[in-house]
Amino acid sequence: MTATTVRGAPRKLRTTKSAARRRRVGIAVTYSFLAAVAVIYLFPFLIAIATSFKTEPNATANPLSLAPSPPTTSAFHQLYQDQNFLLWVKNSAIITLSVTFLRVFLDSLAGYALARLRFRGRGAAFATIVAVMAVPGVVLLIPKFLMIRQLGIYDTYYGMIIPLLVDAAGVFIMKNFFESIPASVEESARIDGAGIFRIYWSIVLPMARPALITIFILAFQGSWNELAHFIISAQSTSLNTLTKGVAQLASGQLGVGNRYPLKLAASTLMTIPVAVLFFVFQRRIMNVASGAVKE
Amino acid sequence: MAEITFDNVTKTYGDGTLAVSDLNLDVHDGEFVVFVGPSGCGKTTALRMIAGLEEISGGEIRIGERVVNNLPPRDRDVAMVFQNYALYPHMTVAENIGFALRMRNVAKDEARLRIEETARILGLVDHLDRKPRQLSGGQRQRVAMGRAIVREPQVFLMDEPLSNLDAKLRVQMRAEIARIQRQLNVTTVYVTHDQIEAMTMGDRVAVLRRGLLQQFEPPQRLYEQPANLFVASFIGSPAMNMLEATLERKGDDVVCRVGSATLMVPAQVLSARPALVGYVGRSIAVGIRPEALDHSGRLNGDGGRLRGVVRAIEALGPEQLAHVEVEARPVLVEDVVEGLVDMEEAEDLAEIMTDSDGDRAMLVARLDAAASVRPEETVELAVDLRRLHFFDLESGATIGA
Repeated sequence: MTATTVRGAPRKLRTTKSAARRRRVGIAVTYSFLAAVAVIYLFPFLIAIATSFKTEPNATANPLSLAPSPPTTSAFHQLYQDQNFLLWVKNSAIITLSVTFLRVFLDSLAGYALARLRFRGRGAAFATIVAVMAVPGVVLLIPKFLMIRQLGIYDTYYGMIIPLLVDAAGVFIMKNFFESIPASVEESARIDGAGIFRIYWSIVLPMARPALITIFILAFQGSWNELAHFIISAQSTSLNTLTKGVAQLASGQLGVGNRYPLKLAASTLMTIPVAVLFFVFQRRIMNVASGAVKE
Repeated sequence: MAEITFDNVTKTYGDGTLAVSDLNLDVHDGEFVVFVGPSGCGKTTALRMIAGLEEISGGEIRIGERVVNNLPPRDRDVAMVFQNYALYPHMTVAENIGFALRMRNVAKDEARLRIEETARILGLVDHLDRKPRQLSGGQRQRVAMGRAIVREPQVFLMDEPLSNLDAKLRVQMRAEIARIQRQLNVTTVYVTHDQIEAMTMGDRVAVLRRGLLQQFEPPQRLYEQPANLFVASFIGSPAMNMLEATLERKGDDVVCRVGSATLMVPAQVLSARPALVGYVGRSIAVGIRPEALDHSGRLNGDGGRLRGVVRAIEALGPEQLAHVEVEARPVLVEDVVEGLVDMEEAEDLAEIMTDSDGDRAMLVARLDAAASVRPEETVELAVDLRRLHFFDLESGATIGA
């Protein structure tokens, strides 16, 4: 009503409008930046997919273009006709599935023992496992090679699978997770009459689902994408996994020239199982321990 | 027969902490015994030793006639209800309750019957197919009890099962637990830090402090005849008022000088506590329960009155609590303070309770709602002399026989 109030109001309005506009601009800038980073991150992958649908001359001439011209599925046909590709798939599948399921089982057993059981040398065992994690994998390749040959499992499935069966990171994850489960749940089971393995199998393991899924994904991914270990543990081409096979394609063993579409078609196909796995499990990770105890 | 006997039981941890010290205790068959005390007093440790979840460092625990020291929990025929319920989250209520039966290879039909019967006792019949995360706190607690009940064990062990429930639910569940225990007549040991729970639920209550048993008697006796300063402060809410006093001779009588007031010690009290005479001329602690102070004139105040200023009034509906500042020294030794609060809060409490020169004490009096007292008013409270308590200031023990 008074002059001061009226004079005050327009100033405030102006400030509000420009503040809102600045905020909008800020948001736009942030999003553009994020989008740019996302594109840069995805670009190589998109190129791979695009190139797998190109002809060889097209791939050589326009390597970075995302639009194949002309688009063709000849690379995929070649892969299919090439018997070896299916052999590589078979080998990868055998090894990956064995390693994944066994690793989940063995890592959880080791993690539970370290978390809950009391035995002499427990601290030392755990310290050793953590220490192993600190060693670069490359350093261990030659020792592993020598051990595999010594044990006589070189150039067999066993040689490729057994060394991968337990990993320090997985044991570490499981141990930490088991420690986070309230001890009273296990004590309750003890009083109810369950033995150690029964407690592990029926009580604790079902509660550890998030950790188990994590190990599952990591194990699947790790063994599917493993290369160095397969190189040192086997030499027959009949034992080639997808990684080894594609690597040999890339090094020109199977042909001359840069056969980009063929190699990238193989890589694209290789990526599918892991991607599918990831998306499937992403939805399924839930907090399984809710309701057990009073938080 | 499922008696439980503690025979010189001691528990020492690896780092040297003495959790339970030479505990001697016996629980009769079918009795509801409560272990109560402040945190760290050893009550939960003692309970867990019965269950077999803690190793016994010394002495023997017997259930029935069997020495159970080296028996694993599953062979002791005890069932335990935990403070945080400890339910199996991936199993339904029915599966949770039936787990122990599965472990003992009970036939499926019999198991089903027993689970349903237990669910009926606890009002869980509609929830049998739910998972714990779909239940409320009270329901989860009942499932935890169901797990114990269905096993028909010799002993129930309960570790503060109600402390995670809200106050009103706690009151209801207290009655529920008591009712079920009476109905099933199973020997029960119940641990709590809440003395109200202990008093309302126990046939006998064992008060523990720092690993040592203070007193083990029915609740009413603990209240009326506490064995020492700690028990006197711990049991009863609001707590007993503790004041420093000196005993003096006045002719044939003994009087108790409390601050500026003089209280007559009645002859019947002297004959019940002959040792008092030996304390004449010495400082002792005198304990007065809030309800032993009166403002209505109901008590004959000839034997002694305490005069003070009302500092605060708490209206409780049927009665009121008056906080009255009197000229007397409060007793704030460790025994008393530990009975009132956890030790970390001891300093805060001491500050609240004393004036800076320590010569004034805050008494809490339980008065009729009709009594007209107002803050900052000076009042004279009559003391029920027959209900005075006397304690040795050095040892903390009651001065009695």
